[in-house]
Parts: sequence; C-alpha cells; structure tokens
Amino acid sequence: MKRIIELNVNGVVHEVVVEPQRTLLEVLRETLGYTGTKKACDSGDCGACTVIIDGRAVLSCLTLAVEAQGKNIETIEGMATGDRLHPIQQAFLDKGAIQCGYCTPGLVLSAKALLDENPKPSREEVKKAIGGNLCRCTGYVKILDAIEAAGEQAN
Amino acid sequence: MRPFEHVDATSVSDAIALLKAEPDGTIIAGGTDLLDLMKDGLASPRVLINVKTIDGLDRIEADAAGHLIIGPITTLARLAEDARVRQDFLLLSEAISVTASPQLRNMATVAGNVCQRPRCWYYRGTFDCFLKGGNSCLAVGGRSRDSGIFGAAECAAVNPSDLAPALLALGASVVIENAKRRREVPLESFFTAPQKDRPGFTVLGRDEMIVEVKVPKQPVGSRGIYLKAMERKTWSFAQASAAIQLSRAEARVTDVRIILGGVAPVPWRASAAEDVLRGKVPTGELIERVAATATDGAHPLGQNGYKVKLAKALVKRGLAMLVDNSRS
Ligand SMILES: Cc1cc2nc3c(=O)[nH]c(=O)nc-3n(C[C@H](O)[C@H](O)[C@H](O)COP(=O)(O)OP(=O)(O)OC[C@H]3O[C@@H](n4cnc5c(N)ncnc54)[C@H](O)[C@@H]3O)c2cc1C
Ligand code: SF4
Ligand code: FES
Ligand code: FES
Repeated sequence: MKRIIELNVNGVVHEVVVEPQRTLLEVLRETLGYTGTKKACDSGDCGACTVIIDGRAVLSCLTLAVEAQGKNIETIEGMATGDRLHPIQQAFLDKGAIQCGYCTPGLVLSAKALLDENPKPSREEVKKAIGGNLCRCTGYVKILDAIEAAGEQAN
Repeated sequence: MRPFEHVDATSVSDAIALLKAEPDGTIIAGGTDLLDLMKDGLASPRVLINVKTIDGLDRIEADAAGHLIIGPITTLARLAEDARVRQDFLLLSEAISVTASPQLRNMATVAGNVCQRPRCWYYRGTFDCFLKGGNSCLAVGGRSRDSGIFGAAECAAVNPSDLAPALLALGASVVIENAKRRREVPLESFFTAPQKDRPGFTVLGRDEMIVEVKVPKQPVGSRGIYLKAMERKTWSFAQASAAIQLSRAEARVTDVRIILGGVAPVPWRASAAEDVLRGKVPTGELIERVAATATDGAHPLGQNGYKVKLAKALVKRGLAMLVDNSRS
C-alpha cells in the first residue's frame, strides 16, 4: 500500500508517495532526482550509496524510504555552498583522489561523518572510517591523503 | 522486492500481537540482513513489523546487580561506543570493531545480529540446498572453504556473527517474549544447528521477539579479548574467530570461557579446552595444550582444513595476550 511520507533531504522537506518496498536509494535517485547517491551492489557490500542520517553514515540501499521519514538525510548534493565546494570535496580534487568518480560521493559522506565527530583523525582512524567504501580505481592512498588534508584544514 | 505492508510497532505487545496475527509477518530491525534476503527472494514476508519505533528498546543500562541490559534495537555502533561497555565488557567493543563496516554498524542491531542468516555461498546463491528445502547440503563435497569444522547436522554453514561469540564468552542471555510468556534463554542454548524438522539457527519461534540481551557482571579483574581472522583487514566475515573471557585470582585461572566463531552452525564453546585451563597457572606450555584441545574433534571438509589451524592459533594468541600483564 502506498504511503505519503516526508523526507528531509539536505534541509529541504519533500512530500513523496512511496510503496514500502522502495529503498531510500531508489526514492532519492528516481523520485527526487538526487542522483549523486550511487547504486552499485545494492546489497551492502560497496558503500557507493552512503548517505548520512541523523549524523551517522548509513547505506541507503538497505534502508527503506518509509523508515527515513522524519530524519535528517544528508546527500552529496548538500555539501557544496553555491559554487564553493565543501573542504572535503575540494581536498579530493586537490589530491587527485577521484578517477571514475563512482565511489566518490559515498566516500565524501563517510569522511564527513568522521570529520564532524573527530576533526583531526589519525590515518588509522581514517582507514577505519572508510573501510566500508570500495574504490576500484585509485588504490585509496590519495583518498586517505585528501581526508587527512580536509581534517587539517578544518582546524 | 516483492511488495509488502510495513507497520511501525508502537510497543512490544503491539509487535507481538502483529506477529501472531500475521503468519507471514517478520520483524525488521536494521534491515541489513533481512532486506538483502528479500531482494534475493530468500525471504518474502507479506508484512514487515518495524520495531525501531518502540520507545525504550535502545537502552544500554546496568540493573541493580550490575548486569548489563541491552535493548534489542541498540545498534552495534552505539553499543561499542558505550562507556560502561568499554570499561567492563571490552570484549563486546572489540568484536564490534571488526564487524562489517562503519555504515553497517550504524544500522545493524544487537538482536538482528544474533538472528542473521548464514552466509553460505549456496544458500545466498540460486541453489536448492538442504537449507532451502532441497535434499542435501551442497557445501559438503563442494565449495566448503567457508563451511564449519564442528557440530554440523544437515547443514555445514557457520553462524556468521562476531557479536554472538563475544556475548557467549560473557555468559549472556536473551529475554524472549511471545503473547503468552516471557522467558530468559542463555545464549548457549539459544543457537541451534538446523535439522530436518527444525531448519532454524535459533530456538526463536516465529511469533516471538527478543526484548532484551542480558550480560552478567564479570568478576573483578576479569578480562576478555576478541580475535578474528579474515581474508582482508576490514569488512569481511570471520574465517575463524576466538572470544575469550578470563578471570584469575593470584596466578591461577578461576574461570575461563573460550568461544569460537565462524567454525560451526552455533558459536562453538570449547569446553574441554576451558577445563584444561581452569584452576591452573597459565604457563606457555599449558596454553599450547589448551589451544590444541580447542580444536579436538574437528571435522574439516575438503577445503576448510585451514580453519583448524586458524582456530588453534587464535586461542593460543588470545590467551597469551590475556595473561601478559602488560594488558592489565
Ligand atoms: C557487507 C556485509 C558485511 C557484514 N559483515 C559482518 C561481519 O563481519 N560480522 C558480523 O557479525 N556480521 C556481518 N554482517 C551482518 C550484519 O551484522 C547483520 O546483517 C546485522 O547485524 C543484522 O542486524 P539488523 O538489525 O540489520 O537485522 P535485520 O536484517 O533487521 O534482521 C535480521 C533478522 O533478525 C530478526 N530480528 C531482528 N530483531 C529482532 C528481535 N528483536 N526479535 C526477534 N527477531 C529479530 C529479523 O526478523 C530478521 O530475521 C555483514 C553484513 C553485510 C551486508
Ligand atoms: S551449508 Fe547449509 S546453506 Fe550451505 S549448502 Fe549446505 S545446507 Fe545449504
Ligand atoms: S549500493 Fe549500497 S552498499 Fe553498494
Ligand atoms: S574513483 Fe573509480 S571507484 Fe573510486
């Protein structure tokens, strides 16, 4: 049975009609057009669909949209301010941490969840925080550099 | 996913009434296992009963006797971060820190984790093995890398949980409710090997709900450790793991629990190994003997003999680290 729910995405409240079996990932991408959130494995293995809900990095492919009602959802689209990239995004560019870019939104959000809690993480802490995000291109080193640099900048 | 109805439960009795009224209803907690199974057609409930909307089920508190009471919808991440847990039940935090990924730990709940389905390749794939109503276990004589080395009846799959062995090492129990009664079941008798007439991995009835996990207070000075062998450094299921909780008075071991993960359909208690150690002074030589005893009676299949060596090595290393005073 379809339900009308309110989803708060990057501070904007959307009223949407959804069937219970739709994942948050599908509703974000297909209904609301937030296509920055990527769908790859659709089963929890890759982290490409990572969003932040109420301050915590979670997987939107394993979240039902109806269960995200009333929560604070942050996606990659909410990171930049106008033309100015978020420091984490800028650091990814500066450090060459992006190749095909498919993993990037998920990684940036995992990094944001980390830095919001712990602005100056050790390299080991950064590794742990992105342990659930797969990248097939970069070999991770530049990604770690970027997140560390963004952390330093925030201080 | 096949369409279903989704209901937000408002209380435990509401959830239990729904379970009773809807024979095709299932509890959804973090959804990280259930939704994956549903996407693959391995579960197809008509009604999902969301228990995350029930107030008070995410508590972490100590009761009057100092036992830790964990609400079933507490996420793994919150449990691992809890100051009391880090102080008195460090084993739990250690086990959770090597469980899945940060995102999954933010979603997965304690009750969902101990109820997760096996990860056997045949089960998750498109094969009709015993566990899916077929005639035989395909892993025996087939792809058995990840299968168990102990305790299998009809199905050689292992219980994939990291939290379960840690909870068992602490002597934890679960409180289960249905419409008629509330019972406390030690985790040791909660997990079962699937059999012909009873294909589940736990004793939980389909109209029952876990309402609490209880971890008894540990003796002063008791310490635990969780070691997990995995194919890569992060984010994979245990090839084998060891959860050990050790209590000592003077130099002697007053009590010890050794639970192996990833090697049996249930978290596997190495009782004979515990007996070798209890009451003794844990010398290097004795630890060798305990570790060897821990894998006595193992029945490896074609491809999983390595688990015997791993389990033995983890027990040895874990005990050595626990008796090493630098950790106290
Ligand atoms: C990529 C990946 C890697 C993983 N790696 C690991 C790992 O290394 N170690 C590990 O331990 N796990 C691992 N997991 C499994 C993960 O930890 C479990 O999926 C999770 O703990 C399940 O919890 P949940 O709250 O999401 O449960 P759900 O998926 O919501 O539910 C699971 C089952 O529990 C039942 N249930 C839930 N709550 C209750 C309750 N209160 N009473 C009765 N029944 C209940 C549900 O009905 C369902 O049958 C991994 C999973 C993925 C996808
Ligand atoms: S181990 Fe269990 S799940 Fe795997 S093939 Fe055998 S019966 Fe099926
Ligand atoms: S798409 Fe969600 S984890 Fe891969
Ligand atoms: S840049 Fe291509 S997957 Fe990471």
